[in-house]
Amino acid sequence: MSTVVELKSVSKSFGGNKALDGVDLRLGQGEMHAVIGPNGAGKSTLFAAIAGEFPLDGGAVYLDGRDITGVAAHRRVRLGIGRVFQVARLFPSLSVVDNLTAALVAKQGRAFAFWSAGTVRRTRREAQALLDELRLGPLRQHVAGQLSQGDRKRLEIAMVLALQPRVLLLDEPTAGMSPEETEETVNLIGQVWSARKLSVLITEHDMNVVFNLAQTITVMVRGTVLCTGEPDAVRSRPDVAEVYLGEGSK
Amino acid sequence: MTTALTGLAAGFLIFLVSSGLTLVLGVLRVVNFAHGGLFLVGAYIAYELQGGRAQPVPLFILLVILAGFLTAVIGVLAERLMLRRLYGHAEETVLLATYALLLMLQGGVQMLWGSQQRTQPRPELFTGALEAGGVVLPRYDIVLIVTGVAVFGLLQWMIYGTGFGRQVLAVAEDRYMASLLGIRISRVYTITFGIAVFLAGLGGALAAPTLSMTPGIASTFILYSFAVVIVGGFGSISGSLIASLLLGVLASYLGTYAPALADFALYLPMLLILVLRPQGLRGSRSREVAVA
Amino acid sequence: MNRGDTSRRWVRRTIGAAILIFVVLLPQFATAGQLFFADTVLVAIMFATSTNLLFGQAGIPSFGQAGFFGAGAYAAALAADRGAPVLLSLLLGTVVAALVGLLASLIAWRTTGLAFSMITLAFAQSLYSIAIRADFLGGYNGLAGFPMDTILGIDMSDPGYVWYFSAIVCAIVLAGYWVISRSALGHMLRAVKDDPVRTLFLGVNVRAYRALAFVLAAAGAGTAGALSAYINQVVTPDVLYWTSSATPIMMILLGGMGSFFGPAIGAVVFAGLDHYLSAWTNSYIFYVGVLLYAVLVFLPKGLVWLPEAVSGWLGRFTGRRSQSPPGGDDAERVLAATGQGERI
Repeated sequence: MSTVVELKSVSKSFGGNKALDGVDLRLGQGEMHAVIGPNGAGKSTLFAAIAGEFPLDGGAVYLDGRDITGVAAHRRVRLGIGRVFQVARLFPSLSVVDNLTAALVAKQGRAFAFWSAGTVRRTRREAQALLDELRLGPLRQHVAGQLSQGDRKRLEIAMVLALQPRVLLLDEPTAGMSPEETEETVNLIGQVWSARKLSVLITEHDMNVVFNLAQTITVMVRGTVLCTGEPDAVRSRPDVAEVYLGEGSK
Repeated sequence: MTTALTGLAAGFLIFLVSSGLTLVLGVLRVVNFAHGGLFLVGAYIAYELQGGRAQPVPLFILLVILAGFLTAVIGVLAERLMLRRLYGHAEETVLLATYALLLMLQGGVQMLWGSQQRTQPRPELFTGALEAGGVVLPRYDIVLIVTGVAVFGLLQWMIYGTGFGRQVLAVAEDRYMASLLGIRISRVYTITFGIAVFLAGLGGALAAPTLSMTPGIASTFILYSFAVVIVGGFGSISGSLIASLLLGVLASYLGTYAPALADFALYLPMLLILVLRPQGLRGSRSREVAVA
Repeated sequence: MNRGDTSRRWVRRTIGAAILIFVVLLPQFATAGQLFFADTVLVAIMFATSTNLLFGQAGIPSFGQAGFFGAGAYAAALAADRGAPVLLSLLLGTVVAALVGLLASLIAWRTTGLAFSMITLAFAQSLYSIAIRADFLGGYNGLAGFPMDTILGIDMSDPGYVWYFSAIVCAIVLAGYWVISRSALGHMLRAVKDDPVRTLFLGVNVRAYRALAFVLAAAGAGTAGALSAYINQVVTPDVLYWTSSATPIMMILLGGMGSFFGPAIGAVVFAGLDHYLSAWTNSYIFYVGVLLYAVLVFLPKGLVWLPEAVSGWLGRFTGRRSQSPPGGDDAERVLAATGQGERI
C-alpha cells in the first residue's frame, strides 16, 4: 500500500529528556496501525510531533511524500490530519450540537466570518447529520461538559470526523473506559475506519483492543522503535515480551 | 560610568521589588497586581515609623526591616483570606482579585495618609556621595546595591541550598506531583508569598527616600515589575536580576542623555524580548502547545 | 413553543419598549447635567461591550482597552480641532483605534496567557507615555474645546439632541457587536475561550483569530472614545493610563460575562456607583476594590443572572422546582459557566 505518513529519524528532547530518538515510522494508505510500548516510551510525543505541536530537533515528517516538518499545526489539520486526544478535548460550555457546529465552521474555513449569523444557523443543520451517524442525536442539546466519558469521546471523534480527515491520530481512545464502553468504542473506530477509508495511527494500553483492530504494530521503548510488523509476528517476539514484563493485558 | 553605577543601583532596587513578583508567578502561578500595592504599603509604613525624619542608620535598618515584616503580615493575611478561596476558579478571576486588592491597598493608603506628596529623608550617613576617579556615586545607591546583592545571594541560597527551596522548586515545576510526594502545598504557598511580600515591602521602604511618595506609585512600580518578569522570564530569579539591572541601567542612560525617552526604558526591552525571545531571557520554552 | 420561551420573549419586548420610551422622553425631565451623565453612561456601555468581545467571549483578559479608547478619543479630538465634521471624526476615531488594535495584536503575537495580559498593559502605558510627551497631543493637559456644533445640519447645542445622537451611535455599535456575536466568528471565539488547543486542532489559526478579535474590539472602543471626546469636550492622557482599562472589565464582571447585555447592565450600575462614590469620598478606589472583590466572590456570573438566581431561591423556598437554565439552539444561552475548559 502507498505511504500516507512517514517519519524519518525524528528526534525531540524536552529539557534533558530525549522523548523521541531517531524514530522511523510508516503509515500506509487505509492502514490501521497501532503504536504500543510502556509508559514513557514516547507514544504521545510521537503523535504530537506528527500533529505539529512543536518543532523537531531532528528528522522529518512527510505527508503523501511531502515534507511537512515546518508546517504549522493548524495547517496540518487542513492537510488532513485529525487528532483525537487521550483526555477528550472539546468545548465544555457549548452544547453538543454547537461543538459540532464549531468543527464544521472551522472545516468550511468560515471561522473568520463576523458579518452574518446565517452561517451558524445553516451549519447547525449540517451538524445534525453527523450527530445521527455517531448516535449522538438524542444528546444534541446537552452541555458537552456534562457528558459521560464515553459520550465525550464519541463527540470528540465526531468533531474530528467533521473535518473529513484522511489520517486519524487516536491517543488511547479507550483509556479509563469500562469493558462495555471499550467494546462500543472499538466498534465505532472500526466502523469509522472502514466507512471513511481512513489511515489510522492508534496507541493503546489495552492489548485486546490492539490485537483486535491493528493490521500493523510498532513497538516503542524509550523514544526509539523496537520493531514493526504484523500482530502475530510482533506478539511472539521475545524482546517485545520482555519489554512488557510485568505489564499484562487488561 | 557614573550613569552606569546609578543605573545599577536603580536596577537592584527594581530587582528587590520584582523578585517577589517573580517568585509568586513562578510558584503560585498568579499575576499579583497587588504587588505594587504592597510596595506602596511598605513605603508608607517605613515613612510612618520614621516619622518623616532622617533617622540614625541602625534604627533605619531596623525600621526598614520591620516595615517589610509588617507588609508581609498584611500580604499573607490578604492571600489567605482573599485569594486562597479563588484558586480553583478561572485564571482571570484570581488576576482580577489581585487587582481588587491593589485598589484596596492604594485606596487604604490614600484614606490614611491622603494623596498629597510625602517625603522621607534618608539617614544622615547615607546622604551625599562618594567620589573616586571622576565617578560620583550617591551613598544611598551603595546601600541599594549592597542590599540587592545580599538579597539575591540569600534567595539563591534559599532556593538551591535548602530543603524548603527544593520544595519550592518542586511545586513550581509540577504542583500535582509535588503534592503526591507529600509536600504541603499550602505551606509552601504561604511562605513563598510571605517572602515575596516581605521583599516588596522592603523594596518600598528602601525606595521611600528616593521617591516623591504618593499613592500613585503603586501603579507605576507594578509596570516595572511586569517589565522585569517579561524580559527576565517567568519564575526565574536570575532572569529577574539580569532584567532589573538592564532596565535600571537603560533608564539611567536615557534619563541622562534623552530624558524625553525615559519611560521607554521599559517598553523597548519588552518589545525586543517579545519579538526575539518571547519566553524571556531565562525563561524556558514551556512544554505546552504554543497556541495563541 | 413552550410557555417559558413565550414569556421570556414578552419580557424582552417589554424591556425593549421601556428602554425606547425612556430614551425618547429623557430630555423632557432631565437637567443638562443629568443628560451629560447619561451620555457618559452610553459611552461606558459601548466601551464595556467592546471589551466583552475580548474578555467575555474569547476569555482574553486584556488590560490594553484603554489604549484603544484613548486612541479613538485623541484621533477624534485632533480631527475636530482641524474642523472635521462630527461624523467624520467618529469614523476616524473608530478606524484609528482599529489600527492600533491591529498593532497591539502584532506586538503580542507570540505571547499567551499571563504574559499577554502584561503586554497589553504595557502597550496602553506606552501610549500614555507618548501622549504626555507629545506637544501635538497636548501633553499632560490634553486637548480641549471641540463642542458638537452641527450634525447633518441639525444644531447640536441642545443637550437633548446630543443625547439622541449618542443613543443612536450606541445602538449602532451594539447592533454591530450583536451581529458579530451571533456570527461564525462569535461562535468560534467562544470555542477558543473553552479550549484553544482543540480549536487549533480543528484547523483554525488561533493567533490570527485573536488579532481579528482585537481589531473588532478596538474599533468599538475607539467609537466610544471618539464620542466621549465630544461629550466631555476634553481629552486627557489619563484615559490611556492602564488602570482605565480595568474599568470596562469591572463593568463586565458586575453585569455578567456570559450574556450580551451583561456589560451594558454593569456599565450602568458601575457608572452610577462611581458617580456617587466619588462625590462622597476621595479614596473611593478603596470601595471600588471592595466592590470588585465582592462581585468576584459572590456574584461571579454577574448581575444579569440575578433574576434567575432569585427565582431559584424563591422556588426552593416555596417548594417549587427552580427553572433550569434555558435550553434552545442558542449557544449564548447555554454559555452559563465562565469557561471551565482545560486551561493551558
